[in-house]
Amino acid sequence: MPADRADGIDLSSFLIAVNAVIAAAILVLYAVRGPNDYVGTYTVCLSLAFAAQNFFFLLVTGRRPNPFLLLLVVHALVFYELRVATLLWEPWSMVFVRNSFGAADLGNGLLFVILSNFAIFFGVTAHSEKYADPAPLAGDGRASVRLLLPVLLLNIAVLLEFNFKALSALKGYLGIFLNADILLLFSLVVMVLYYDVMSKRQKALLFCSIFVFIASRTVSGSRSAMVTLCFYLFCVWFGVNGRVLFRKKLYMALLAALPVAVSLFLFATAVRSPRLQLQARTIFDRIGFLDMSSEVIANRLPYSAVINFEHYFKSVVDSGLTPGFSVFEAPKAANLLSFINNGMPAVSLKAVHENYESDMFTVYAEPYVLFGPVWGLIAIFAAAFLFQRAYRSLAGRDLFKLAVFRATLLVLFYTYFLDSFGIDWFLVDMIRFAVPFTILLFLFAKYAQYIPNHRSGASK
Amino acid sequence: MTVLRLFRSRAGLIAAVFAASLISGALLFLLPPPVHEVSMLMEVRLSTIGPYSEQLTWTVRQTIESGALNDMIARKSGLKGPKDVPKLRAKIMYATQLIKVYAFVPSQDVERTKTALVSLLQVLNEGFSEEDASHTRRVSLAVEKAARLEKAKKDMDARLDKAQLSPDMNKVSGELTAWTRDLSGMLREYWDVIQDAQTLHTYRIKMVSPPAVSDSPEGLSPLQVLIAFGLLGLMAGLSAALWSEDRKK
Repeated sequence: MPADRADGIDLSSFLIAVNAVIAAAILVLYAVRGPNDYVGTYTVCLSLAFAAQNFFFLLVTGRRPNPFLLLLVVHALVFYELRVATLLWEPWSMVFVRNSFGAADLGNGLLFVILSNFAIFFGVTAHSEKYADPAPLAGDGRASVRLLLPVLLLNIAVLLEFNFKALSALKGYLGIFLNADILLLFSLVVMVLYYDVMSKRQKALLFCSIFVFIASRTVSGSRSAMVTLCFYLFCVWFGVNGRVLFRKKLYMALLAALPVAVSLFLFATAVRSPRLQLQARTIFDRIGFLDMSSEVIANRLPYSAVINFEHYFKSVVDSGLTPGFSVFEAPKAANLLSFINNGMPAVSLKAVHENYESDMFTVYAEPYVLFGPVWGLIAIFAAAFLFQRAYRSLAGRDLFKLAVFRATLLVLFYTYFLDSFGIDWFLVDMIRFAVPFTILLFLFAKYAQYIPNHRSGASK
Repeated sequence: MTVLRLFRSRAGLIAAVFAASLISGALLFLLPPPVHEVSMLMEVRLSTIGPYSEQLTWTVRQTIESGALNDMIARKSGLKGPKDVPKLRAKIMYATQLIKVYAFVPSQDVERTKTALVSLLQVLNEGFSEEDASHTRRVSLAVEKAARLEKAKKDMDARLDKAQLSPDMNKVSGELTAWTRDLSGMLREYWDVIQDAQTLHTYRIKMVSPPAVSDSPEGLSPLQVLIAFGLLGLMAGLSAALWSEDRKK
């Protein structure tokens, strides 16, 4: 795509500036507003160390692009470092009030986050420097793109997300494999990989379909449509181009898009709960993943009743392997934290269905509860290392499939590793998505691109 | 491995930055006076928990945090002016009517802060009860008026019962009875409204636990200084090493 040129600014350089702004905001807010019930001097000092760590990671990934490291830093900046600033601004959190929680607990949580990020850093960079990085993928110049199938499937999937009565019968069957998120990811791969060979009409059609996706998600009350799109685009872009270089204007547009994303969030919230009065603290709370990590770490003992491998096994059997019936009546662990906080540890699938709430464990809190602090860090390192090794070992002659696999691995790293809702959640989703992913990959690889003298999976 | 290579090639630089960070941490630990948390727990009490309960607690919290009461607190506690009142923070305890009011102050200001917190409670009770008293007065007047109307209605009923009325007058009497029935209905509604209003306004702010000082001062312990500034120094040192390597290249 045209923005990815040698004269562009690397995303890591842009993030260095963002990191500096957030660190400065923490210092200024601490000086002006002073410590509070959740953020003490220790946490502020740790957050400076955290900012220095992010800076170092950005320097490393600026030198040698590493998608995992870049995702880690984006995640750390937006959901962790920024949270210290917002807590200094408004010490309010829906998570901290679930149990007894104070500034010392937040400090301990942030310290474990810093140590875990070291473990992830070592995991995703643990390869020989002589070892070549995955090469960028250039779309085949002879190829032509056929957009009928991607656009048609994406729009049907979006349509099915609305609960139209007329489509309810269709939804039952088509909904199994027409997954809108998978279709969006594949359509973005087509767009980024074959942008140069697409006609103006095709580009316009694809952009319109993506717009329809965002609009429909927002109208139906989902608050993360824009974020999902940006995140998928990042993963696809990195998978195809090997690094993210944008022109200055695009960074300006990204900054300008921030109010749009906030407006969409407010609108979707209004659609979801018309009576709810949304305030800044609600948004800060929603993007404060540091709260979840620190709170689960601070209350490891009660949560270990459901965050354990025995429960994971039971919930995977009930939610993923037994369609229509259950063996153990064990809901997914992430659905049970709210019940534990309300003093109801043993609940059924039906109770969860009636009072649905899911709580994120994050990459930091889950290993801490499962293995303890030291073995938890080793487990985090091992998982990060496996992601990096799998990404580097991806190979194949079909560029589309290779780009899809790379992008998918990055999506998995972010969605199920950094933002973990539990290993059981990950396994259940893998079971659910395996079939639609395989079918759609086959369809897209076969029909969405046409390369003369080329058979999918065979040599060109 | 980037980090190991940096340690080998730029050990001196990393060590220097690390040491500088630890020294600045030690200075930060030693120089400023210890800061203590002084806090008080109070309850915004309502006769019933209703839809306005949370709103009311938030109003009290925002009033405290805005500093709008500082002038009155200063006068009440004998301080020179509102600037002498420490920065008060308030936190609503989840799903309760409890508000924790707290401030972080140096050791020498602890007693002054305690006095200010006690004064805050008095100011709040006086400020809010003024509104309460005026409302109660209005409610009592309305209740008296309603009682007079009800008594008049009862008298009228009794007199109509006793009177020997002509058929025409009987018809008028029937209409009058219907009118008094309406009046009774209206009075009942009036009482309901009055009672609701009383429910909303019969609250008071009560101290649950008096102002107290935290056991240990807020701030950094030597171990925390070592951890936080050690990490900061390490990361800054590594970044400096990487930067110097790039510059050399």
